[in-house]
Amino acid sequence: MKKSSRTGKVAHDLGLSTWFGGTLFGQVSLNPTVSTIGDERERGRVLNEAWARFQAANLPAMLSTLLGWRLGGVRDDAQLRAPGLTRAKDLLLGGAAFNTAASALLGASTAAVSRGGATPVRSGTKPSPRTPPEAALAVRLLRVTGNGSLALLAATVVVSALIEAAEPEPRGLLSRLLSG
Amino acid sequence: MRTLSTAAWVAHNLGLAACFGGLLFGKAALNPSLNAIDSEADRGKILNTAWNRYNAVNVASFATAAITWFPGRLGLSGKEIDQQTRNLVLAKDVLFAVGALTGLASVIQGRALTGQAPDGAVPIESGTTPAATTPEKAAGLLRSVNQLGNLNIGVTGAILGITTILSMKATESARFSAVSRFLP
Repeated sequence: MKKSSRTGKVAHDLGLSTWFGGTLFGQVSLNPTVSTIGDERERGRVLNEAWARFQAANLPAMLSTLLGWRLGGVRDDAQLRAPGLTRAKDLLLGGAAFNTAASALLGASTAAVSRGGATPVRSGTKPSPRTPPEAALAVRLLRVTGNGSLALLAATVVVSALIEAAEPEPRGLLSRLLSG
Repeated sequence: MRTLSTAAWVAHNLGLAACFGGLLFGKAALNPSLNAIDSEADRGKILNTAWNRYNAVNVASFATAAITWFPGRLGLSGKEIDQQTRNLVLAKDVLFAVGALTGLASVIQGRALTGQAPDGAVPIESGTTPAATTPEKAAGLLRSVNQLGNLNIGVTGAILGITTILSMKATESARFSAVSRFLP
């Protein structure tokens, strides 16, 4: 079983922090704040540009999280400590990656409806009466996938900390007898 | 499982992650995207509103990370493992102090920038660059907020890196494992 490398673990933790904290800023700060811009098309333009820029930084962060977990030995180390939590983290990371990819696609499809990404919206997760119908559905779905990503990533950070705090499970007969 | 210290560890990691990723989003995504807005005053309004909103989360996150670090650290100095760990613990102490000072200064400067115009609508070129119409005092505040923000990202990233290495060293150390059984 592969031992977790220091570089792999640091890359995993920095990646996960970028992914979670960045999503948090976007959801709690950027998305609601754009509603104070007077022009609804400018709201869409700022949202699309900011989220696209974040996705450019978030893609490497996601990859370093997932690769660190699967190939950097972080998962193998976790399996020794807490097998149940390790499986839970597999599911959480898979769900977060799915939601993040879905959010990126929905964001891109919303931007593609108007030139320069200037699709009119009320806020980052609410369409306005002027939002074209094909984009309105994508904006509504963004609320689900965005909040889904955030919740799954928060849970991933929690589960990761619980795994780190867990004692390795005794594997051999002698260890089991001594730990019992 | 040691309930109190495990809960503190979870809160510590959540706080650091929220701080680091949030700052990175603001710097790398929000600040350069503001010139998508035509009105320079609206750019300032969005910049200040978004950052002030996130600063509430950021201050709470950083404070949580610090509050959960120092009490545990008073009991376990790092010497239980080796001298390198002891040095990393001291480095993390210093980084927390620097992060707290730069973070606080950044919030104060950000508030002062917001106060330069009603609703924070200070005309700017982008989140990092003043416009030709930006008043001199506001331009200076914008530059200092950005410099402090860059420093803060570096400090928080370094704290995260050290935290990971300390966690790995702790889990590899039989001596630490024995001592940590007495944690609450």
